[in-house]
Amino acid sequence: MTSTYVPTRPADRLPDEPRPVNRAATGGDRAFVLGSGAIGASVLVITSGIGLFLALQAVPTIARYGPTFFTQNEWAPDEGKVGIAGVLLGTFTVAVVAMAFAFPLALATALFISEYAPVRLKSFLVSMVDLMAAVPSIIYGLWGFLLLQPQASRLARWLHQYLGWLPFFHVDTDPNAAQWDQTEYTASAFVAGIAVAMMVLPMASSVMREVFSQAPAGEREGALALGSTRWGVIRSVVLPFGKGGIIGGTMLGLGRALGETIAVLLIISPSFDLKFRPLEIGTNTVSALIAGRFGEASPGQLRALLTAGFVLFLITLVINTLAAMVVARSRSGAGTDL
Amino acid sequence: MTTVDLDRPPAEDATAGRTYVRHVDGPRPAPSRGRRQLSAVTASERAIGVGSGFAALALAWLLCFQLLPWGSPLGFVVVAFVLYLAIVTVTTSVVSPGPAVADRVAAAAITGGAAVVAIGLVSTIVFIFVRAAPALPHLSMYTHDMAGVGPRDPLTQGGLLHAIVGSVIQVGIAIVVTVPLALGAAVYMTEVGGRFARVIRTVVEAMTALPSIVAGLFIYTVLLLQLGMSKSGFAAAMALSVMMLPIIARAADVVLRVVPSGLREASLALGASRWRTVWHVVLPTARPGLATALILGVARGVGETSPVLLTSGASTFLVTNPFGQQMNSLPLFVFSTVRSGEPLFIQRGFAAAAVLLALVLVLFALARFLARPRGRR
Amino acid sequence: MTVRIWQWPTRVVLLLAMGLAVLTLQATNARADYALLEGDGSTWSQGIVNQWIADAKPMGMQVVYSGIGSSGGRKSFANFQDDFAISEIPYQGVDPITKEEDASNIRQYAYLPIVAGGTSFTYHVTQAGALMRDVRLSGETIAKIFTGQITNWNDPAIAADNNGRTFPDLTIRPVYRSDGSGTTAQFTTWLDKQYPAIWRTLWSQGGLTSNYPSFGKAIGANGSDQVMNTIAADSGNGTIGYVEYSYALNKGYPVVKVLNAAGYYVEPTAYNVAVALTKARIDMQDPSSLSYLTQILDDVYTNPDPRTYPLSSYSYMILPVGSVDRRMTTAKRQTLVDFMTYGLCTGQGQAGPYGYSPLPLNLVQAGMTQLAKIKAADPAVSIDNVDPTKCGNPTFVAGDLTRNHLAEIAPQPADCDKQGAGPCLGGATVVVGADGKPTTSGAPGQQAGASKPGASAGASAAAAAAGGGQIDPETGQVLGSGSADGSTTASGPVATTIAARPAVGTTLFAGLTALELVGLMVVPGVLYARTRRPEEDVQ
Repeated sequence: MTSTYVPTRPADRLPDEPRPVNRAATGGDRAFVLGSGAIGASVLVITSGIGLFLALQAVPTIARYGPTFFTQNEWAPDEGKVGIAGVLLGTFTVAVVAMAFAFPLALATALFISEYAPVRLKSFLVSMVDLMAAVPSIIYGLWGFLLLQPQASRLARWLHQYLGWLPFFHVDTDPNAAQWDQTEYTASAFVAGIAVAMMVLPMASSVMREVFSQAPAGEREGALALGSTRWGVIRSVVLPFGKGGIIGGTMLGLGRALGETIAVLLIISPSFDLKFRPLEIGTNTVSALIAGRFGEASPGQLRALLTAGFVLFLITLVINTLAAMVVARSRSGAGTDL
Repeated sequence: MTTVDLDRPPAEDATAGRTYVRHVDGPRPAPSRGRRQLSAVTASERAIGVGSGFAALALAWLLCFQLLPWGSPLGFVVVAFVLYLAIVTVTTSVVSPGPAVADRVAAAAITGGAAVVAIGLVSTIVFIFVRAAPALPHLSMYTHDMAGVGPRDPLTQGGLLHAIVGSVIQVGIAIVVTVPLALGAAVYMTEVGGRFARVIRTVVEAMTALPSIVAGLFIYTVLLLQLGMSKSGFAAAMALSVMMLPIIARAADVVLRVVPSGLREASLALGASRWRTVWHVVLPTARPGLATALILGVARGVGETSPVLLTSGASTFLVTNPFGQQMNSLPLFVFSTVRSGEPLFIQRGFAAAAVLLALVLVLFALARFLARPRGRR
Repeated sequence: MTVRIWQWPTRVVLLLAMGLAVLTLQATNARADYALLEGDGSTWSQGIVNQWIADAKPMGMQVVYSGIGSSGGRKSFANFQDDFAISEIPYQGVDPITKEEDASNIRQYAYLPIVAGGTSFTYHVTQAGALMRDVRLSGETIAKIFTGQITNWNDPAIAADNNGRTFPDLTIRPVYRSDGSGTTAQFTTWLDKQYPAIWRTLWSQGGLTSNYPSFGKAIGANGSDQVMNTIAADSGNGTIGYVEYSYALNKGYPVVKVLNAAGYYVEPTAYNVAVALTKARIDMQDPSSLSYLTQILDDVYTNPDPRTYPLSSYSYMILPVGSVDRRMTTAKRQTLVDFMTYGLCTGQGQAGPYGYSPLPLNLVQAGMTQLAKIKAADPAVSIDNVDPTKCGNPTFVAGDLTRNHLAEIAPQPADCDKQGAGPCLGGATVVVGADGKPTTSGAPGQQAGASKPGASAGASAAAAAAGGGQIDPETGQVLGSGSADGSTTASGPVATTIAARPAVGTTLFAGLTALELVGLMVVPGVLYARTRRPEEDVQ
């Protein structure tokens, strides 16, 4: 017969209880958490300082104009009529058109550079996309006005001709006339949106590309080993992994699209009615309104302009919160495994 | 050795103590199939691609120029591309199974999208350089400033030196101020996390939508009016920082999130503190991505005019002191000259834009070089 | 290992620091008795101010000017953010409706005339494939166009102004400045003073505005350069807009001849504007009123001299004249005085080539009176050079202030520019050169090469002869012999309308054909792919 000797520690006569574990950081870790928290807090202070600056302008404006500030679409401060309804609608129209063009193109560019491009060309293509991001916005505004607008107005006319039965593709002119009125399709949210898309897509594309290149090699190789094609690898590994990066890049781009000033200013012809037709001449955005009017604005008018900026900031906050909830559930959002 | 037919085995006692092995012929040589094709693209696939391309072009020409009133170059290209996708789908599905077809079409669509972006970029670059061409070859453009040079003076006089130096100084100050703050915030958001980090992330993200004019007005009101500073390069650099900070922080956050947590856990398991993990493991792994984040922020800041216009004037002479004196910078120079209506001034403005592109290209190449992944160092 | 990692960045930083040090040595400093001047404001005046800054540099003066808009300049000045400001309109005081204040309460100031110019109207109308030139309009027609009451170029009012000349059937699209602009303010001041009934149908509260209201088919564009680009674009057929004269000159686009009180149609050349402003008055009545020292242009609009361009005005510099001013030192005040002395005198010679007009004697004298106030505020400032008799202004003879040199040298308008006669087609224009001598250049709209002294005297292109009998079959227009600038003949074209292509019908047929063709190519392959048996995958 055998016996097993189990050594016991002298103090170990206590009943079985879980050991109290302290999760709080200590020593160097605590310094790290507090230090980085301080930096994060200072960033928050700076950025919310701007929000506070805008909010301070908003209070007297809303007090003066009341809730009609959000429903009125005329902007005539000399007559006492001030409202941002038309301007907000225009801002979102331009942003939606810009993202409609920029999102697929950014995705295509990011996938092309990370998956399809020859390895020797990759760094060159990456530099080219960076260069696109660095072109000054006034140059894009002039390019959009001088080079893009003639082509985009023709495209708008084509859309009106064949898809004009959709209410938002309608324009108040006859597209089939022999001498069609080209001016009616220029200076619109459509043209401005395409120009803004050119500015937004390098930003979104760079972020997406960075994330795609981090997709785990083991999973890629596993997919290839199971016989999938290149597109199969993209569809099953890269895109699901990169969902957080795609959304993050798109949100970054959307932010830029909402805030773009000079290019929109140079292209559009400002109009303050509630315009649901992006192809037609005349629109306005919050940034273009502020930039165009702040020079001649009295202090009260300047406050009204900045209140419009504040409303834009709040709406962006809400959109980004929603997007963040989606990102947190994806793999590249919630932390990844090797 | 005797052979036994194992289908009619002999009686048991006859086989006692013996082992019988079924005789098998040696290995037969495999039937010859020719050389194995290792590359992914066969000659027949290439032929399919080229043929579909020709067919698409021909059909598009027929449709656009002969049948339908879509005879513009843009219409032709778009119709040709759509037809190419349709035809290549059909032709590939004739010879290859389903996944190959999807792969082909996806490759064509993605390459087409990238080509559209390339066309846009090339047209912008050509637009700038064609209009800048008369002004670029003069060496004085890069070594002189505009002091004493009027809008109608010939291009051999005057130059961009003051704008170049001003841009470099302002962006340099903005980078020095922004990068530590943005990186620290990003590290806090990814490493420490929690509710406070989510608040920071939401607010910072909302700030990326800030119109540049509002950033300029903010700095103008706070620094110039309230604190009584005068217009200077430093104020302009602060306005640029306000615009760059959210973008760098947000992009760095996205990039730091994709660092595999296995690496972090391995480092922690080996006994490193969290700070050392971040400094020695996370940040070096994410280094190329952080360079991208920096580049995106700088690209946004270097091309914006309105904040700089409000906080620093447009001086014509070289200023190197960022405090107390108005400084010029390349985007501001572009803005004030290109909109003036004088032809020579407009050429100078486009030359400034071309120089700005060259400058940022060099800066970005340097950033990517310094931040390249560990294996190549 | 630790040392090697940090070597690269250190080297780069050291190199940059050395480069900066070298560059700092190159940076220039102002002369000892001059100081750096910072100003901002109007973009309308920016062209000539930039030239004066360049001219002042060899004299030792350093000036910085930023064009942020007239209102921005006035606000900056009130906030002590600049040393001087330039604005087209004076401080407006308290707005009765909105109660907003536009004033400089603490900082004492005076208005100084800077440079003059005319609000010019440029247009883009193509007829027979060529740009129409030499269009004349009366003030009333212009007012009706810019309030949406006249909507087509073939309106009888326009034909009447042009003595029966035919215009195509083309919608007028007025282009206005969408940003707050001093040019708009000058234009609306004239509209409100001369045609209040017409103007107030659009702007009911009356008075001037810096933000032109939108109406009808009007297009808004940001900045004069974009107004010009909108008009000059291919899609700009039918547009007319108001810009500074230099933009139209530089682009080679025609400018409207406006009817003046003497019955002549004139262009906003430097001399016509200068002649008009001889009737400009400065409000000297009530020193405590806000309009003290501002311009009174009522007599300018109705000046009976046949060379007058009615929409003439000048911009102001807002000078700090307080003896206690927290920004101004003696050196700065001296710089300001000397800079503006140059500007009022020799600097006016640069006005013509830039599309402005030199200030006449009355305004120069008024300006010098304002400069004397700076000496009153600070006795250390020297105003010895502030003297009209030492002034190199091209509109008067420096030595003899009694002669009206301007009246002697400014050319009279041609007879065909008189109301009821003409119109003049392909005629010569007169542009003032740098030396003050008027020269004739080619057809209107060409940029005068007059920045060099002894400007060329180009021969005026003769009006195109009324053409021979050839008629263009497509448009029904008479084909004339084209003149040097391609202007049309006096006998206008017959306007034809081309019927619109029917929407349904041919397009439907063509679309079906296209669909069938594509189907012919694609359907057999699809059918084959669907019905074949799955085979072994070929390698």
